[in-house]
Amino acid sequence: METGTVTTANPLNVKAKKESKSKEIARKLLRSWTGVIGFSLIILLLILSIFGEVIAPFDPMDAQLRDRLLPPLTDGHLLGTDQLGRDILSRVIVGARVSVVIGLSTVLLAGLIGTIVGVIAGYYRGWIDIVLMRIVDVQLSFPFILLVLVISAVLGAGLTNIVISLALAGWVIFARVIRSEVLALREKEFITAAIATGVPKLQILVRHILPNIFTPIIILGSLQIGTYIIAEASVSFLGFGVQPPTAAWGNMLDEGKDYIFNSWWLITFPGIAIILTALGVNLFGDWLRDTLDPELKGE
Amino acid sequence: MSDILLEIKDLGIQFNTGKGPIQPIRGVSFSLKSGETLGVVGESGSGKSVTSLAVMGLLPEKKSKIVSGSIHFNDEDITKLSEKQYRKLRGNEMSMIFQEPMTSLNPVFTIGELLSEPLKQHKKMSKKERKEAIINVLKQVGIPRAEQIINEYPHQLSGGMRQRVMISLALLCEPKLLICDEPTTALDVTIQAQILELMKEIKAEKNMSLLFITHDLGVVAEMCDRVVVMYAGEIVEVAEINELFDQPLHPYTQGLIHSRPTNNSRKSALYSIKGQVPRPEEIGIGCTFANRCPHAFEKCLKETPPIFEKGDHLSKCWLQDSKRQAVMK
Repeated sequence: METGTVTTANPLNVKAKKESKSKEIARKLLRSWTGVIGFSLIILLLILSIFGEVIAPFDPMDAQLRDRLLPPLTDGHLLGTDQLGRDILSRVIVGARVSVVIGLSTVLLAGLIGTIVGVIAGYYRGWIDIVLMRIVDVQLSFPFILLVLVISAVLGAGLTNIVISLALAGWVIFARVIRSEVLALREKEFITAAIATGVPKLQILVRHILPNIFTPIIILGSLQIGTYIIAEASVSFLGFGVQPPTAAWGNMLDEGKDYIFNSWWLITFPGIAIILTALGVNLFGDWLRDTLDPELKGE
Repeated sequence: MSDILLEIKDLGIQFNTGKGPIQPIRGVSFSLKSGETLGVVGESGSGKSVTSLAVMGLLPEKKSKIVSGSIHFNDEDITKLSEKQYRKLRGNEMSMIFQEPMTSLNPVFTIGELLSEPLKQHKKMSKKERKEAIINVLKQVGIPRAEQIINEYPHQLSGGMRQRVMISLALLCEPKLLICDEPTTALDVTIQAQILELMKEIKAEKNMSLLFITHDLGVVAEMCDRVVVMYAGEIVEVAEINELFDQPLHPYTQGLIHSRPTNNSRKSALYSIKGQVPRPEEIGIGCTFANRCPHAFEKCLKETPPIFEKGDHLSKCWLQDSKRQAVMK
């Protein structure tokens, strides 16, 4: 953390320190092969989601009914074509964006709601804690996907609505974890010490407690992204999510399921894409947890 | 302003536990003159820390309350202050140094950021002035490379250094009262000596009053002018430092002094006071120490002793009852 106000006696020294810091992270990453795999998969996913249209060999929306249901490796269609003659590789590539956008924005929204609720419950305790945590308990007793379906059925389909329904179903996990972190933190001696120097309550929360729960939020968030991407695919598969003709892995599965017996490639490749994404995110999340965990940090 | 900076009168504190209310502090009274160092000694569980937290207004709000008595600071009853008024005192007029320097510094802030906190709360200063003040106080507590330390995080410092940072945090606003809750317990002996020396110097320089909480009689002998001995939530003896070591009146104090290791008793086992401090819910009638006291007699079990005064030397023990002494003679 740079304070900006401070002039350092030896700026060269500081620079050397910073370099070693990024080197240290790289070293830690290279030491764990699961971390490397996860990181590479995430980078690939990000590249696909940003430059999808450029990379895709065909227009993902271009339906050539003449070429429908071509098996892989025919006529330049590496992964074949679907029931409308659209190139599956291109659709898988472009579909990455939907997953990334939904994964990221859901985790931001769910994380925000969950953190606010968790912090309030954990810091202020009392009846507000009881009320909020019972809401969380009730919500946790419903299956996640069912809840997402119910909320998106009420809100209607579409990208924004699927994000909202995923977040409304998913914030409880954040609230639980953050609350327990805050509960432990508020009893820490350095918080008492901060009160003893005359810091007001709200500032204690914002300046002294929040920065300390940043790491668990990041770790939990990175792991939850995988869950949300899979959930989006499931909901789209059930027809509530991203609507055709937009290419999304979930609705590709949905459309392809009718052809499962004679054209296996329709659902296999988007399925593999989902698996690889979830795998990458989870591997990376695990690595992040191992690296950032304050208990292990000193090692 | 009177000579007395802090006066605690008949303080009683109640904790609400799952098993009903208990009173970890009962009828505690003592006063602290400006410029004086007052030691508070006692075993674990005797109520030393609770008393100091009460002075700082840091008792957990919902679970505890002050049921009787008053705490006067600068002739003002601070038990009646609102949270906002209290905040102006904390870190400014009164500060506290905690026991564990390892856990008392927030790991996410640099030393500079940590130390600017009390200044931001209590003093109107520009960033530059603040930085100067911080470097100054760090140098005062004997931290080398103060200019670099302010950019470092607590985990990069050793225990002794962290305690020095804690002390400088407490000193920044030049408080009138400094409460030290076992400030050297977590440090090794050489560092302990340095820190005590440092605190003595600073105290003399700033003319602060020190409330020094410890269970280490050696530290008390080193640091304090007067001593309050606490046992099971009550004060059992108050005396000037030399008087206490020369002529301890309460059997508990005698036991404490007796159980210190000395040079010539190296090979024999240390004396220990038998039994344990009664838990607050176990306290009934009679003297709280009676069940562990080698001199206990019938009256001790039936009646709670009042405080007997012998000049400045107070003790809460039936042995000091003049009637009894008359009988004994």
